[in-house]
Amino acid sequence: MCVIFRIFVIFFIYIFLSISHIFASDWQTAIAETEALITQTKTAGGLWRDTEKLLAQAKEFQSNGNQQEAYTFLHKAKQQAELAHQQATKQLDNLLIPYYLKH
Amino acid sequence: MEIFVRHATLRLPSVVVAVSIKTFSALLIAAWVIQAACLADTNIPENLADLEKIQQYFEDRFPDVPKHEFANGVYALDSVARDNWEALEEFPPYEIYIDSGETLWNQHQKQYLECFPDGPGIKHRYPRWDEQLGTVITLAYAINLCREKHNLATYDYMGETLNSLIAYMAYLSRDKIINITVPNKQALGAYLDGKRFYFSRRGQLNFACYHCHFENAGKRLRTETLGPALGQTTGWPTYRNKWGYLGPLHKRYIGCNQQVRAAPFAPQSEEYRNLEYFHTHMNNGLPINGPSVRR
Repeated sequence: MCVIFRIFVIFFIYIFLSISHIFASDWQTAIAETEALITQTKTAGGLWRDTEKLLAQAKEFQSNGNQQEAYTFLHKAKQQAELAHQQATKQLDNLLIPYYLKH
Repeated sequence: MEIFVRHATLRLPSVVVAVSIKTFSALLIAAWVIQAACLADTNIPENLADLEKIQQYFEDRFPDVPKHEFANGVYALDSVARDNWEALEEFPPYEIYIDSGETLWNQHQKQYLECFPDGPGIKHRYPRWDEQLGTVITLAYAINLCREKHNLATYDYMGETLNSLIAYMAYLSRDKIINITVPNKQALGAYLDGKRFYFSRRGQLNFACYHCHFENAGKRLRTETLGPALGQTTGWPTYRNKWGYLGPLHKRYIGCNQQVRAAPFAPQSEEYRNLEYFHTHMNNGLPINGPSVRR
């Protein structure tokens, strides 16, 4: 009985560690992706005001162990970085000068 | 010519051949000159065409406002705000900065005069294109370059000291007419970068500078009237009541960018210097009236 209990405990610990490892690696990938996107947008000169703040807040929540909030803020930061990048690229490729200033 | 004449089926006298070649050459040169003249007509430098279009736009938009009045910014359009402004100008809050700017100038007058021989009243010539550095030089940037050259500590671009010195220089430049030139292709590149910045949508609110300061100039944004782009650079540095101190144009650029939720650039960054180049060029012909007081 005691042996079976020990096996169960070891099994659960193994499962827990595997899941937390998966979460940790997911987190690292998502952070890296967002940071890369932010760098690209910055280079294009179109970064938004709050994107980096949102990313910093996400990291803070993560370090405090609040996974849910951390992912919410990371998602917001990534979404902003994507939209800002789209905006900057569009402005570079297709700048619209108002009709009354065209010559 | 001899060969041509020798092998020609119809033998022409050499005098006739010489005359026809001369005529042909003359015609060729004339055609080339006419073509160059036509091209020059269609290739008016973009900056000059912009200047004409922009000033015409505001003159058409506000036909009751005389051109020189645009130098007073929003006070040319909003009569109530103008009354307040005129009352403030009786004891202007920027006066102390002019005095301390004069002291600062006199402290290193020798060095400054080496860098700015016509100084200190030279604000109307800035920003300008610098051939050697290959970049746009604003007055603030030029002062720090001068200080570096003379082994003096550079000033903080947002700080009171530098802006006091510029306030003094602007005060002595009052009524001098802005005349910003775009002397070569490189300078035109910087000018066009500034223009691109001005007309690019940015930030989470997806606004470009011109959305507020061209199409919506004169309209209300909450309690404030939006100022026209024409005349926006004439009165800097400015004592803004909102700030409670004298600040530079680049601080206002930073504020504008933040208001549309875009990440701002550093003061005196290349982006803002090019923007100032384009922004000031459109005010050619208007007088300097800085330092000024604004809401």
